[in-house]
Amino acid sequence: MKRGLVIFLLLAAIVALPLLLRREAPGTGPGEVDDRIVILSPHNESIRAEFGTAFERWWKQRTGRTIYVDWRTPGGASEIRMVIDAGYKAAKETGRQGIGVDVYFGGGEPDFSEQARHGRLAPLDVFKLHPGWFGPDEAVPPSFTGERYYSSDHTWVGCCVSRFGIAYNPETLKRLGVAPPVFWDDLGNPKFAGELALSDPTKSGSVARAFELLVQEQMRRSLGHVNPDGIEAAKAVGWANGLRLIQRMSANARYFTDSASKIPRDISQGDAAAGMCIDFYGRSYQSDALTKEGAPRLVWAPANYGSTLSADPVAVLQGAPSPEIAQAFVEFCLSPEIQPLWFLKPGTPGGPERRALHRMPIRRDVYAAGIPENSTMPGENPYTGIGNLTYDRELTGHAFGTLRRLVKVMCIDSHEELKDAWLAMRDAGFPEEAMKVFSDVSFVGYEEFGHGDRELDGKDPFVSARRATELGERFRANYRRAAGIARERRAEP
Amino acid sequence: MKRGTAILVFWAILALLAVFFFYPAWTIVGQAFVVPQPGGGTRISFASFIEVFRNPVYREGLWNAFVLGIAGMSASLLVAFPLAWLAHRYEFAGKRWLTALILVPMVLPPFVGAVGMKQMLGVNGALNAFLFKLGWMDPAVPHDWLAHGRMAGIVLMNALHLYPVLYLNIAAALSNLDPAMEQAAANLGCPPWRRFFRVTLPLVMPGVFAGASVVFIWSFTELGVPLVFDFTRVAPVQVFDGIKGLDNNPIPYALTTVLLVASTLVFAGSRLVLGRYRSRSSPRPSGKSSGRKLRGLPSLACAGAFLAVFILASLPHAGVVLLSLSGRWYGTVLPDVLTLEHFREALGNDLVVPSIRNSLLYASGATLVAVAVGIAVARVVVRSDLRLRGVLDTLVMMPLAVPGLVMAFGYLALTQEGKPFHFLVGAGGSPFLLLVIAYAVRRLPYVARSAVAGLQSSDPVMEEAARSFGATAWRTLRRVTIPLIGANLAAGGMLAFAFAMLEVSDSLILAQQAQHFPITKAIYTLLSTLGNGTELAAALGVWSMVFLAVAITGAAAIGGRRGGWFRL
Repeated sequence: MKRGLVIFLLLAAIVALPLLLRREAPGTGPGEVDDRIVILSPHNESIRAEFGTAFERWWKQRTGRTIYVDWRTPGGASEIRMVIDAGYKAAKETGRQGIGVDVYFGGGEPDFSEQARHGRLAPLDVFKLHPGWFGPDEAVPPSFTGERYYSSDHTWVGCCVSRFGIAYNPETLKRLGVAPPVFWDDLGNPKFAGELALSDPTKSGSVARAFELLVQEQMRRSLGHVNPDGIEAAKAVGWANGLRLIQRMSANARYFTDSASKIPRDISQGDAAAGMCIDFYGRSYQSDALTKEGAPRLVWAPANYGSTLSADPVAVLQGAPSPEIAQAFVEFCLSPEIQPLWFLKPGTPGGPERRALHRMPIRRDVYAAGIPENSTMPGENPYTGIGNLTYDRELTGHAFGTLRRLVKVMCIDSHEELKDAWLAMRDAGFPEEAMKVFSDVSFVGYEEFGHGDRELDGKDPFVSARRATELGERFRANYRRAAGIARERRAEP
Repeated sequence: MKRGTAILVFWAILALLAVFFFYPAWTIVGQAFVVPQPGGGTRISFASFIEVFRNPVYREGLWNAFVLGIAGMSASLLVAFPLAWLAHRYEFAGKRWLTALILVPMVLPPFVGAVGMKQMLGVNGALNAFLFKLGWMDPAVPHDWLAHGRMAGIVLMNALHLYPVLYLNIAAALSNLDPAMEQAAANLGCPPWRRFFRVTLPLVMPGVFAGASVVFIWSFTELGVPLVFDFTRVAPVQVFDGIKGLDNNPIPYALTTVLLVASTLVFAGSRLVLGRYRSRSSPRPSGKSSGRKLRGLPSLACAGAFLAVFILASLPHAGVVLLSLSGRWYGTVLPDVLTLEHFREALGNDLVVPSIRNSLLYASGATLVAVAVGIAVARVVVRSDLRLRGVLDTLVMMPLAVPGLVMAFGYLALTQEGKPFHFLVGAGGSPFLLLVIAYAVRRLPYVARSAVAGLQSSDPVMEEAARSFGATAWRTLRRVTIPLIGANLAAGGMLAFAFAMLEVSDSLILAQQAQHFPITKAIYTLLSTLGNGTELAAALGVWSMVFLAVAITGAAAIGGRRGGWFRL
């Protein structure tokens, strides 16, 4: 009896702890409000909290009514895609218009373009209400660095911009004896073997675009030195170099992940030396993860001439339960007084209440008067920054899906053989013969794959799967052969 | 059990499984077999199945999964059996608390469990920092524990996480054992080892089989541990990666079916070989344990064995606890800055209190449903002579082998407005019924296995006697059967409750509105906070661990003391 009482009291104390520590919710509860908006978002909790609170305040000021922001967060980009697919499939079968969600907020341009292609996004009123905000010389340009910032049919628009870059742990680099990586090529250094953290291009359109840009950068380099007659050949050389760079980086990789926060976390802990990382996570860890001496454990920088500035969009879903509020949310996100929320320090006027979001507003005019001192990224104006790459849709745009699948069969599915061959070659001093076999990408050349492979990226999933099996086997056979040659060379006296 | 009743219960359970398991699973997995035709319409094709076996990477993934399943099960057995046997045979120092404590490692919060493991075993983790300090490792060449010998590492981690499943089932079987059987063998001059193999082991075989089958399927389909080791050439990871891919690739669904069929075949096969044991011992004696009192060194050795397993298995948990308290933890054995701030911030979050209430409701509801259905399954499987009872026994194990994500999206598709399961979504979008059912279906195998093992170990003579004295079937069930298999039901129910509280996929996908979030989704939400998200998630994870640990050890300690229906 006594023992039972002790356990009961212990359990009661454990349950009481959160009750005692509970803070008043910053917003209003769902039951006691005038209006409600449902937002589907892969944005992190900090962005949701800051934008939710700011919108509640904005809505109150504008309409005098209270509102509850109902965030729906099933996971990352791929889970959201599956939720939207399941919802609209059922809606179509049951003759409904929408899926009970008003707004889709956050993700990559490819994700939104995909939904727009399916006709699931409604035209945005903000383009009619504030035509002066949009245009080549206006606050929100139609495109920058080759990336679209709003769709031509006005069904989605970017709210902030971001780019992939390289994050590294200075102490780990010191241990490995490697200079800080500046270009994507630097991540192909064999000293990084087993030390790189890479994003998975098969689960996110934005990451797939980052890999595409990596290939484009190599094609640009190749094209920089040719006369007009040699353009196609130069493209092919650049394409092959791009694939080889992806091979080398992948051979160094510990893993490919779809978790945006895993990479900076592992790097800041020293469990990975460097990796591919989106800017706002990089900046957040750079500012918060410090050594005992106060130095950053992670340093982030955009890859030189290796990344574009892509938009992070917002859209109103077709059949939204509260279309007027949804349209107002888009207007709110793009309004000049809300945009600084993305990059101001917490607690400063116009800034977030609790946490810095470390993101770059899309509106150009926010930067026009100079970057405010209370910004988390002083001195950084994405629109004047040098070292950006300009995305050229003509170069690889048609091969977007093909390239993603190629990375899967060449590097992700074949990762074990790839790593094994790479380590064997490293130990043997990279014998030329082995390297030649290892980096043979002639059977996936630009001529055949650079404009999209009909089988690999075709509509028939079974044909695509068969093609992937065949190509994967070919790559793995090469890796096994390269490993064999390297071991033979090493064994030679 | 009367044949008519058995047939009725058999079909009722089959209908439940068909509606709440096979239908949602098929809604998603069916994509692998139903191929859209260019001119509209669909056709059935097994091309994706062929592709799974044509692709050497998938073949290797399946083989690795099988090896991990067998090795994980064997390693868990090697840990669990000696412990359960020691606890059964001997009284030693701190036994009551130690036998409860070793159940705690099964409670590892999702998402942060992997981070905790990395904090301990990562290149820059606590273990290496400790070895640097001792001078046993060169800081310039740290050992990468998670990158070398990954298969062995996964087996070890699985064993240290899953042995409580086996321990609970074996302990329940041993508690049903009539010591008179062993005493009789001893009196007849049977030496201890022979007695163990000829008397004890056959009698507890139903319990071993119950736990081993769950652990095998779990290890065979385990996703989280291989991901911690970045080991992707294993079928469950290939399924997970494929489902989340942008390609709408049907292969992962075919691979899911292969996993399901393989699990079923292995279970059915081993059931034929091992599951036929029906010890049907006399009703176990009530009262005190028959354990021999140990003193001095032997007593300490027994306690040491329990403590060693607990400490080793709690390494990831220790990582999570330290993480939740760390202001900074980088390259040191322990955090060099300690703080309670993460607890204040995490537990003060307005998501947390409702999520605790929700999780308790969802998990309790699911456990009740699973226990009720589990008893019904066990009655048909063990106490009826239906020819198809073995099929039912096998079918209830199948939910263990289907990835959570597949089931979650199956339910999601079917609960949309106008779809057959929409009635499960309550007023204001409450997913209570939906989550209770989703959790219960996936946790049914634990309870069903334990209940089957319990009935197999108990002689039907008591129930028959009750019926012959005029007790109704319901009264017999309530007053005789359930008390008889109480230890087994408690073991299964405890597993079902703990794992329902920590469920991930259904919780993330089906609990859509913040006021309906269970704890796991609250942990997931906190995890994505910029800055100290991992530490906040760890703090809430620690809260859940402590709550479940106290509930489990408390229940085990109280039950063990009473020596009645909950003897572990």
